Parts: sequence; C-alpha cells; structure tokens
Amino acid sequence: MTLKDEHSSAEADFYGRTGKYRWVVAEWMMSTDHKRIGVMYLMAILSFFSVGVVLGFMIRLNLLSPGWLMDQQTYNEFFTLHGVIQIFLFIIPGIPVAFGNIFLPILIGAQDVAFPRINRLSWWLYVAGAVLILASLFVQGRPPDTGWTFYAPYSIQTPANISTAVLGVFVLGFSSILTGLNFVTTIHRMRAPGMRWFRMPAFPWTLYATGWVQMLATPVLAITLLFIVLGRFFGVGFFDPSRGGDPILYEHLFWMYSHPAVYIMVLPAMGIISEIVPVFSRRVLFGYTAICLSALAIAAVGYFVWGHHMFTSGMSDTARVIFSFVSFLVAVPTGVKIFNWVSTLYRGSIALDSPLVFALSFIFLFSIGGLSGLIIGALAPNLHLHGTYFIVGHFHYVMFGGAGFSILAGLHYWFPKITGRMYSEKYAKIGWLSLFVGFNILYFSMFVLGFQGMPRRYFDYPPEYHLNHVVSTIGSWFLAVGLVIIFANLIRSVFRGGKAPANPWGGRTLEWTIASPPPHENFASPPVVRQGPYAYEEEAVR
Amino acid sequence: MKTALWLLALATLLVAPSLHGHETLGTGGEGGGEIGIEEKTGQTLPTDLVFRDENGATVRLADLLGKPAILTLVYYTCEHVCPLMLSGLSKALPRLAARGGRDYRVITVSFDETDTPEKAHDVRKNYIKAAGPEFPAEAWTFLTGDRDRIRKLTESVGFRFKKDRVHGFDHPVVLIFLSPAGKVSRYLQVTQYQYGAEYPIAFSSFDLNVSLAEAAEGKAVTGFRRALLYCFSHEPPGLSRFFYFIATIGLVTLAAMAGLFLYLRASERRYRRGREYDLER
Repeated sequence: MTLKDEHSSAEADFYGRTGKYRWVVAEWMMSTDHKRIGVMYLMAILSFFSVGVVLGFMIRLNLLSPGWLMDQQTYNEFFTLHGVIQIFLFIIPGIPVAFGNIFLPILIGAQDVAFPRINRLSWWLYVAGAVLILASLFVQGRPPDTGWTFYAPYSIQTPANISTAVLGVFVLGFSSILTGLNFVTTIHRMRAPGMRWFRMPAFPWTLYATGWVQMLATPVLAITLLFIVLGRFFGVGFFDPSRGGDPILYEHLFWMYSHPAVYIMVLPAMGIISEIVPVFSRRVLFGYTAICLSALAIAAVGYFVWGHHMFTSGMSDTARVIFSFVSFLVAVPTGVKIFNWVSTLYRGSIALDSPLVFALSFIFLFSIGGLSGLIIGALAPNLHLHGTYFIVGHFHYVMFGGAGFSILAGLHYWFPKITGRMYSEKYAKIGWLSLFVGFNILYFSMFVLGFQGMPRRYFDYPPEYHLNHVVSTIGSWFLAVGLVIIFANLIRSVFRGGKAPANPWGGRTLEWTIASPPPHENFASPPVVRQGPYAYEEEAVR
Repeated sequence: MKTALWLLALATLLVAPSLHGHETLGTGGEGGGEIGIEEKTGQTLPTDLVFRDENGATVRLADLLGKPAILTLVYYTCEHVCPLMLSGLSKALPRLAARGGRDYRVITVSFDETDTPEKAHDVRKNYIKAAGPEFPAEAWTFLTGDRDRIRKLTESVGFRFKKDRVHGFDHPVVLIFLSPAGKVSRYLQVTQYQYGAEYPIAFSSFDLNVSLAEAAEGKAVTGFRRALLYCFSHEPPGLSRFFYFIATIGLVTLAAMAGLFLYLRASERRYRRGREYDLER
C-alpha cells in the first residue's frame, strides 16, 4: 500500500475480506488483526452487557414488591448471574480488550500488538470462558446462587453448578493475564519512532498500569477458584473449618484479586476520559504527567487495601485500621485525576458533543462513587453500612457510573473511527439524558436504603423500605429506556449513518491521522512523533 | 501435570494434621478425654489452697467462702470464649435477686500458672466496669496461683484442660456453684453461643438465682448435662504451612514480574535502537 491510497481506500479497511477462509466467521475468528479482535470483543462485551442489564432490570422489577415475580432461589440465581456476567464477562475485560485492542497499537503508532497470535488465543479463551459460564446455567443441576463472590463455605456446599461457573472464570483469568502481558510488551517495544514514554497518550498509560495489575493479581483469583473446585470434588478443606481450613482465608484470597480488579476496570476508564476531555475542550491535558503517574500509583496502592471488604469478617483492630488508612490513600491519586480533568476544561473551548457529555457524567458519577467509597472505607461507618444497599449503591456508582459510562463515552468518541459512520447526535443526547436521570434515581435511592439498614441480596423486605425500592425500580425504567435509545441509535448508524471523516472531533492523537475505519495495516509507513499527544496550544502559537 | 502434583501435595498438608485435631476434640467431649468436665457434685474443694488475688495479697479459698460462690476457671490472656463468658456473666450479675458480696461471691481463677496478679488486676477492671455500679466490686475476685495449686483445684472440680499446641488453652466453659462450705453444688454449663448477638454467651437470671439459692442450702444438683461449649483456639497447625506456601508463591510471582519488567526495559533499548527509533537523541 502506498501513501497515496491511505486516505482513499474505502475497500481496503480492516473489515474487507482477506480471502484466506471461505466463511466470514472463520476469517474473523482466525484473524490476528488487533482491530478485528477488538471489534469482536466489543460486540461480545456489549452483548453480555445487555444480558446483564436485563437480569438487573428483572431484579429491580422483582423488588417493586417483594416476591411477586420470583421465589428466593430464582432471585438468588438472578443476582448471581447479573453479577457474574457484568463483572467477569463485561466490566473486567471490558475496556482493555475492546478499546485497548482496537486503539492501543494505533495510539502508539504500531502495526499490531507485540504478540498477535497470543492476542487471538486470549480471544479464544475469553469465548471459552464465556461459554462455560453460560453452560453453568443449563447443564445438570441449577444455576449458581452464591453471589458473584463465590464465598466459601457456601460455594463448596451448594448443590448449584458452581464448578462450571468457577472454571469459566478461571479460563477468563488466563485470557486476562495474556492480554496484560501482550499490552505491556507492546507498549515497551512497539512504540513508533519518537514516541517517548511521556509522549504517549494517557489511555496507553492506563493500559500499561492495568496490564501489570492483570498479570500480578489474576493468578491469585485462579488459585483461589481452583481451591474451591478441589474442595467440591476432592473434599480438600482449604476453606472448611471442620477440615482445618478457614472461610476467612477465602475472603482474603478473593479480595486480594478482586480489589485490584476494581482498578483493572476503572484505570482504563480514566484513560478514556483523559483522551476525551482535552479533545472537546481543545486544550492540552492539564497535568499530563501527573495523570499518567497517578495511574501507576493507583495500581500500586490498590494492592494493599483488600481488607476493607472484610472489616466485619473478623480481623485484628490493627489490620483494620491500617487497611482503612491505606484505602484513604487511594483517594489521593484519584483526586489528582479528577482535578486535572476539571482544570483541563477550565478556559477551554468546549464542544459539548455526546462523548464529552458522557465523559462529564463519568466525572460527576465517579466522584459520588469515590466519595461514598471513603464513607465505607472509614471503619466506624463501615460497621453500620457493611452488607447494606449503601454498598450496592457505591458499587454501581463506581462500576456503572464510572467504568460503564466511560465505555459509553469511548463508544461515542471512537464510533466514527471504528465503523466509519456518524451517529445521530440528537438521539445520543436524548438517550444520555434518560440514562443519566434514571441512573441517579435508581442508585441514589440505594444509598438512602442502605442508611436505613436494608441488607443487600435479600429478595424480601419490611414495609418501611417499600417507598425507596419503588423509587429505585422506577429509576431502572428510565435507565433501560436510555440504554435502548443509545444502542438503537448506534446500531442504526452502523447501517444508515453518514460517512465519517478521518477526524470528526479534531483530535490530535494518532488514530485520527488515519482513515475511518482504519486500513488493515494501520499506518502506510511508521508515523514519526515529534510532540506530545494533545498538541493544541503548540498549534495555536504556531 | 506438575501443577496437579503440587496441589495434591498441598492438599495432604492440610488434610493430615486436621484429621488428628478432630480426634482430640471428639473424645474431649465424652468426659474421659483430655479436656472436659467430670462432675464432682457433692464433693468438697480443698479450701485451704492459697492463691494470690488481683492486688498480689495471698488468700485462702476458705476466706472467700462462707457464702455461696460462683467459680469460673479461665485464663487471662484468652482471646476466644473466656472474655465472652465473663462479659455475659458481668451483664447478668447486677440483675440477680441475690446481692453480690452480701449473698454470694464470684471467684475467677486462672489455670495458667504464668498469669500474674497485675494481669488479673487489668482484666478484672473491665468486668467490674461492665457489671456497673449496681454490683459491688469487692464481690468478684480474680485469682492466680502456681501450678500445683491450680492442678489441685481443677482436679477437685473435675475440670480438664490442656495447653494448646499453637497458643492458649483448650478447656470447657462452665460456671461452678459452690456452697458456703466449699461443696460443689452444681455445674451450669454453657451450651449456647449466639452468633452476632451483643453478648454471644448470656446467662438467664432465673438459672443463676435458682442455682445460687440451691448452693446456699448446700444442695447437690445433677443431671443438667448437655452438649458442652469449649474454648479453644481455632488455628490448625497446617494453616501456617499453607501461609508459607502462599508467601513463597507470591514472592516467586513478584520476582518473575520484576524480572519481566527489567527484561522488557533492557530489550526495549536494544530493540528500538536497532531500528533507529531513538531519533530524539
């Protein structure tokens, strides 16, 4: 391919058939092109997201009035599957595998990731893990009913299909480790000429931090889940007190992974926001170095806070005080990021397009999520709020308001680049409004319920909680309508949207210098980088 | 395959010692084993035994008797059930019909010969405070003593305990009611542990009132034996080996990660220089 046809090659984009395989499905499944793998991941995670949303919607519907829709067992299975699907199939792999795969190599000016075939293996493992988790619904016995945490000893005793589900999560873990390894190596080795560490955009920086967390934390989950399977099949009592084990050990091991996993979800989300905010305010990302390094700081400190999930499980006071204190430390680099985004907006030339609208809602919702996290990270309030709806509210503000909204922001930001089509700005904003309003009605009332003492995971409740449950359920309807509008708009635009130009938003990072959708080889010749990623001010001076 | 072997080895580590632990506990409950209660209702204690009270003064048991007494056997460094039992008792005492000090006494004896009067003093403070102003402080004594005297006392009431391999002691949880003359009147065994309650071990005022009244009359009451609660440290010895295993794996993983980082960093320079990628220099 020559330089000339780089911008005119509508046929040569990465969707074009290579002709190596007879069937399109085979061609895509066997492809090692990071963009194709990323697009497949994107479709997969969004499909699982919709399944998870439907399950969550049903849970809320059931809580409109206790027990009118499901019995206890069904309810337990629903919230378990909602959790397992949203967490292990959607939000943990989420941003790195979808947007990371499509854009990491392009953002650092590379042709592909460092190990394209390992990348394909990760994708296959992801599919295998997902199939196993879905199989746990249908193979003999009943679906898992332990909650997404698979807490021992119940997960060892329940007759439900825990082993299959746990095996699925185990396989997903390997997919995650390999992706992390791939991205870290890619960032070390594949950067374009002149792309120094501190000329990389913020998104690759967060993927770098995430990659290390994936490699270091996921094995802990793998071994923990293996212990559960050993316990179920061979009666090995790692977590069974009557055989000399300890259920609290399970909680320690589980959260030793699952707390860093929160940063696997949230760090790349912060990376997406750091890409969007400068583009739509036409300013250099304020405190760029601090944003990049704070990602590493969050990843590092995040390893030492897992105990705050277990303040009421039985731990020494010294351990609890230390865990509580270290948890507060996480707020510092997080605050650095929030203030830097706001400072970027300050005196910027703001274009309030839908990606920025989603990004701003991320900042707002994530701040509420983060600050409510400090309330429950402090020891004394935690003892009151532990195991209540307050936790559920906090969790959804962080996961959905944080990571979820940033996926939507990234989707609207990169949609023209991925598909080569534009979507309707009007419907995107209408959808956003309904989603945002519904989100706050749905989850803010959970904070109130939590303060009143409503325990989480219960399918039933006394009458004094009725009002807030009704409010929360009504919020879920607005939220669902918003999501339907947003995705209907995007799906329609894939087929009917107007052609997208190479750079619809005026971005300065490398993905906007190539055609939409990108050609097979990304860059006709390796780009040469001579300046930082958000070169707005330099241009104005020139 | 290698991993599977490793896990099998790991599994045997945990299973083997815990089976052994099971046996000890199982026989303990029968009264003939290493720990438990062999009721000596109706027999009289050696009341001339001398202990030290919480102020370090020597006291004969006979000096403390002369009225009915509740005898509790604990050790003062216990972090398991003993403090909960004493808290439950301190909660119940002020509500009794009988008045502490005037109608009865409470005698707590440590069966750990390394406990000191200073320790007894510290521990006692908490329970006196918990009992509140309704309960006169001088009615509850916390004794310590040497090995021989402890043995004589515990044997005379049939209280069998043993030192735990890891730390602390394994022993039954029981209140022993003594008549004014020092005769064992009744064993009030703690059988229930209410998880999550403010006082997981609670005593009913009715039980205590009746038992004290019977003790005051010198009656010997038997036949209340039920499943007994034990106080023991729940930390099987296999667990520490498991933690060593986990720590080793963790350190190896960390070292591997550090190695990977250094390798990537080193090869990055070589790789990018080879392709003239360092054009900024």
